[in-house]
Amino acid sequence: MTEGQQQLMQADETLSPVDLPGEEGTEGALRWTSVAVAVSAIFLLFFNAVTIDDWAKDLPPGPAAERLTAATAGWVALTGSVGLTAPRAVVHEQWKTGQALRFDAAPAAASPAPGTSPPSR
Amino acid sequence: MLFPTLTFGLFFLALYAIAWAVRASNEWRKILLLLASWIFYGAWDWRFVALLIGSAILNWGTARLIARANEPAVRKTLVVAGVVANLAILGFFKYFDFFVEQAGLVLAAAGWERDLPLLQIILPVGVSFFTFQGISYVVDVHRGKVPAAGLLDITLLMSFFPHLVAGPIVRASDLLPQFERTPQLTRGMAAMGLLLILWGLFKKAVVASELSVGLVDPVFFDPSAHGRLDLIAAAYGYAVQIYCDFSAYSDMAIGIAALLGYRFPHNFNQPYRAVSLQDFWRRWHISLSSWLRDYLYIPLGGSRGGTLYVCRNLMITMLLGGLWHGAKWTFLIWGGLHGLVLSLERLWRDAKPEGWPTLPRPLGILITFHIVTLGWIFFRADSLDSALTYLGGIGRSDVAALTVTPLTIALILFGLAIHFTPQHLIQGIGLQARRVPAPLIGLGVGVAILLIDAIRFEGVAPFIYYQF
Repeated sequence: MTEGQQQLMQADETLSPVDLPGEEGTEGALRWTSVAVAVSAIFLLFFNAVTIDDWAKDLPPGPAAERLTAATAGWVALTGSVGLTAPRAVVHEQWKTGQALRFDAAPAAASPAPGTSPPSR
Repeated sequence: MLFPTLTFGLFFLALYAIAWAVRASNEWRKILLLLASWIFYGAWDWRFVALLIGSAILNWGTARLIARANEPAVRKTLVVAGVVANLAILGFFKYFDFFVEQAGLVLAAAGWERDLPLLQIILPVGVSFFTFQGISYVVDVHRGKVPAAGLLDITLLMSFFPHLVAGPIVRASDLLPQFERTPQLTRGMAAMGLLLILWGLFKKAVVASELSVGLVDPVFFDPSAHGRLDLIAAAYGYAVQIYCDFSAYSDMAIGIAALLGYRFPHNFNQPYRAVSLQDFWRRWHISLSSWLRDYLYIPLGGSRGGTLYVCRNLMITMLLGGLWHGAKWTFLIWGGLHGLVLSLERLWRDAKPEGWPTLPRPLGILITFHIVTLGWIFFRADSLDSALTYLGGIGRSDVAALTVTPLTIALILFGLAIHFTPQHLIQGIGLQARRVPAPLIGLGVGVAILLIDAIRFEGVAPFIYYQF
């Protein structure tokens, strides 16, 4: 058993699952976290424009929402024109193909959206 | 405001930036977190925020009076009053209509039919969680486990948005000491926070949502219209769904709190690998089971006394634990089933003849999982009739149409398989992740969110435990 594994065996005794054994100091940690959060946000801004547009379309209607929707639609078109929306689209398509598979090979019925299905509990 | 939405993502990004920007003043930071928590909670209904503030003031005032009182009798009276007041809030919002309905049925059965007034009360989101938190606080002050804290700290303890609506039930002794000074972030905490948020997002948005909409909801909606295979698959499906839904909320809550510099306790530990029901309750909703143990089971007498006395305590604890989830007979039956099996385990442990072999571990896991899944059928069913129809259908249904799909089967198997991965796997990944340069971690998080978003179900259903 490695030292790391031995340390992890003690993880149940910590207050929280975020307490890792052999923790280093706090110096630079906030900067490290902030850079990680910022990079992921920027990455998603460029590669996930479709979701941002969907979110904007769901906002309560009004002049501000209208302007935002126009901006997000433009952003989808721009990122799409250079191929940035393609990775998401490919994965989404593959998942939908898997979702449509049936055991009895009957035509796949479209799954209802969460809001239209019986109440979830 | 739901965690797996862009609205929450933007809310959190803004809060993260401001909260760390004002870290020079811990008091201002706490005020900011409090205001943010009220905005988060008020997104459901602003009236609930007033209830939350009222509840916090009640517990703050009661604890202050307890701390000042010298006479044991006065202190006891105060703690009882505090507990009763918290239970009154919970009882009014959660159980008033249920008990009035039951009273109406009893009166009707006795020939005194009356139209009793139902209030159609709207259940405030998370009321069960913050009232339990309030109760544990006043009891802990009475027991001398925590000092009476200031109004700001108590209000933030009860309102802090990551745990507010669906736990974990973070006790005063865990969080108040953390509020006393500006929190410090470490790379490990941050890495674990990001990992837990991602893992929770995947479990909720992909596994739980897909199983809910694709299998569980349609089958439980009308069990009589489904065949044996669908009924069995949906029962297993719900076992996986409720785990992936509820543990996802806990993981995200723990992760979000960690990015703000706070530590929340463990709430799940691979519950479906439990070898007995007693073991299950050490792994499932740990903050509730430990709460019930410390503030109900032990005060009732706990494991002291004879076997039958212990069984009585177990039954009371589990029945009330069932009722905590809601005012429905199905929850009581769920709690009763758990209480009964826990009692039988206790009886067997005390009465087992010397030298008899213990159950092989895999068999213990299999039996425990199926008892838990049986309980989930009652827990999920809309009514007792529906649950009985469901169970009857498993025995005799001959409907041929299939709702279960290869994808839902794969997700059920995945949801069960993750219970048998090495313990603390995610912490092991966290140990490696904290050594990786920040831009690479950020890129990894971005790619992971993109993938999850590409395969997640359209729309976001509320978390199951929001209703409790």
